[in-house]
Amino acid sequence: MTIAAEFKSVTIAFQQTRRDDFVALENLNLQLYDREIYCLLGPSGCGKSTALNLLAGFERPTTGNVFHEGKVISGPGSDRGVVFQGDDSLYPWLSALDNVTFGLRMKGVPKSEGKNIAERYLELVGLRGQAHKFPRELSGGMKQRVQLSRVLANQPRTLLMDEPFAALDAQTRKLMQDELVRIWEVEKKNVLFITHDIVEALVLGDRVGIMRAGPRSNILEEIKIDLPRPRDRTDPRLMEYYRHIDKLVVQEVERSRRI
Amino acid sequence: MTSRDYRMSGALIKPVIEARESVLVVLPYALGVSIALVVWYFVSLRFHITTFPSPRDTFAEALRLFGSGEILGEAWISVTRILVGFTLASAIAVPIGLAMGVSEFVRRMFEPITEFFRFIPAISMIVFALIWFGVGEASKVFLVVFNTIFIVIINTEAGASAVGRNAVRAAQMMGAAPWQVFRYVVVPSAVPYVVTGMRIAMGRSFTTIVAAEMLGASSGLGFMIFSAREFMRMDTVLVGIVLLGLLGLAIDVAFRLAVRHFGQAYLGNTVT
Amino acid sequence: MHGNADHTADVQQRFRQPYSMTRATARILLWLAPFVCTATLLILLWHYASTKLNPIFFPSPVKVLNSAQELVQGGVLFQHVWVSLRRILAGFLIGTAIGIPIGLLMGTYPFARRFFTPYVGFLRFVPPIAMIIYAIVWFGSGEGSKIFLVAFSTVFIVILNVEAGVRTIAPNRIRAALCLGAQPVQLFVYVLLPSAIPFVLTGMRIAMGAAFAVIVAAELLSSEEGIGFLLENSRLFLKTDRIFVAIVALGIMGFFTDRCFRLLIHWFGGEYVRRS
Repeated sequence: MTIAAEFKSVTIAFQQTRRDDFVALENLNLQLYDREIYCLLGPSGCGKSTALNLLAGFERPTTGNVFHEGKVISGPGSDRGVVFQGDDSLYPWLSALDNVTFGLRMKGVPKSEGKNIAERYLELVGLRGQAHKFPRELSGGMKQRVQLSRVLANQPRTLLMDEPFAALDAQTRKLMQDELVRIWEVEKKNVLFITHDIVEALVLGDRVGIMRAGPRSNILEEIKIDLPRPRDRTDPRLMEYYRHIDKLVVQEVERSRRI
Repeated sequence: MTSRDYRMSGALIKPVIEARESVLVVLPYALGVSIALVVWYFVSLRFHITTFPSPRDTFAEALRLFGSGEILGEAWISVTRILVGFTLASAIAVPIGLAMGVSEFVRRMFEPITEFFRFIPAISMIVFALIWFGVGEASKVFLVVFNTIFIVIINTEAGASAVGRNAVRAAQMMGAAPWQVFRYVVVPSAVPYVVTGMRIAMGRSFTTIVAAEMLGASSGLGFMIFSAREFMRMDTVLVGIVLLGLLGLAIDVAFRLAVRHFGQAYLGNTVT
Repeated sequence: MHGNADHTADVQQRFRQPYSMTRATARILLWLAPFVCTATLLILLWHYASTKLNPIFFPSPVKVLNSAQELVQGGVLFQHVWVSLRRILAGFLIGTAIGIPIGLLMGTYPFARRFFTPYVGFLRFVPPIAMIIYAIVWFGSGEGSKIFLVAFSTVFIVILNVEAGVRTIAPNRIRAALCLGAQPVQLFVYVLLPSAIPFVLTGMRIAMGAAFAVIVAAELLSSEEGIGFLLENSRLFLKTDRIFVAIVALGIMGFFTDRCFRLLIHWFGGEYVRRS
């Protein structure tokens, strides 16, 4: 199994005024394999978004290194696409189509070619015919789809998703999870998926990494999910995994409260 | 009552209710305006035309002034001064404001200047303007520029620095170079703020120009109103004031529409 | 996994540097640098311009400082400042005393809003200085006319802001009070008023700026004392250095009053509106 991305002994600390530095992650070691969906799971404030930011290149580790395709990461780039949690990263003055072609335009791809690519990906995510609409005319789920297609249009090697469905209602969330699996079967990217929802992690992930409660957190345990896709949320085998993970998470939260 | 009776009586009642409701809506407006007119009329009876003209006299004067094109000519002069100064100031202020919003260094460079000058009422600069530029157009335009430039800088800077972090990150992760992030993300995000700043600046420039024309000018609406007092033509004064109010209203409405248009497109109010 | 404690210590060692006086001073200087650069540049430019241009047109920094000293020490400056401030305060108080109730009424009762809108919606666009003619005819050319003008310019700004404040109260606040059994009067006093306070203060802050502009303009046109008079008087005698001092004084006054209001908004506004 080739390694697509790796965290090697990564520690990151943030400076605070008049207080000790805040160490979000300490000695994090994580390997993301090629063409797998790795779900990073953990309670609030455990630093999972920070881990994603490190891999995306938005932050730099204080010590240790983050590698992508064997090279040390020095900043954001179109080889690692990010899908953000809310809708504040879509550009309201651009139509859905223009949002999707944004990255292509930055790279100088000719307009007609960009339009074709964008339309193809909009169709893939199920937004055929919505290309002309503006973000304010789209529902939450549709906006996340636009984010997905604009990222995919750039042909990244790795997809980083920061709790992308957290702001959606439960029904839409289930739908989007299934959609993501469908899309991933077509475009087999390496995916790092952040979530705090255990069921979501189990439905999506090849592996689930459970994080310690923050600060100074790292991986508590990694679990391989040995179930074929698409996964049934009521499957008893899934429930087994759920019980195991839930127990771990609850224990971890208890432990952190006692400290 | 049969269902047919019911429907028919409904058809009769509805327009009655609607008529009554629309009267209720219009009534207060009408009441307010008519009271003002009535009071005006009675007060003017007690005074001579030179101190307090009656509605009829004022209306006659208005017709005369508008008919001869005199008042509109003066108004146009005032408006031109504002527009020229405004455009000039904006051309300078917007780039500076954007630079300030993006670069901490630039911001610290200019901020002491803007924070100092913004509290000086533009009209007080007329004293310098008259000495430096005389009584001509330049002094008026200078005043408008002075007034506008700081307001627009401040608002533009606010807009440029209020760009969402994720919006910038999104562009970066899609491979945009820093200058592309500036041009395609920061600038569009700042537009609603810039337009708001312009609206405020425009309103204040309007006031400033009128005052400037009263103090040292030989043309313009302010001049016309102020010189009318020498002949005790209070009716001219009133017409002039009313026109000022209407102009100000028109300018403000135009800008509000602009803000709404740009705000909708650029700030994106979600439908869901 | 080796002990986290050791790792932490190691990490702390790496990025915490010992406090040093020189390093702290260097950081402060670096932060001040851009400002100092611009300030020095401007002063140098100023000095150069004053030597090149006709000294009447453009006073040199030295001359300005001298006349500043002269005016301050003679008490002249403060006398004029005080006159203007007095007028502003009086007009301001009158304006807000009228404006707040009307604004509250307009915000609460549609009837009141529709009744007053023709006046407010139109008169607010009339530049207050244009009313100076009426002000003088009605109140004479002394204090009265100036106070009237300040009040005129203040009233509409305050009305607008107060009305906006009342109308944007979150409906759930009112509903909550109602289902807790509040009577209309209680609703007004304990929900409406507190929620409207930050808007009232903001309106007052904006109105203050307008008041300064009006006072200067009015005093320039017709007055025997006050900052505006000082400006005009200095102009007539071509004493540009004094003009400079007067303008700087204006700027400082505006700055301080603005800061005062910001503080008030911070204290009183923040409590009643926990808004992002």
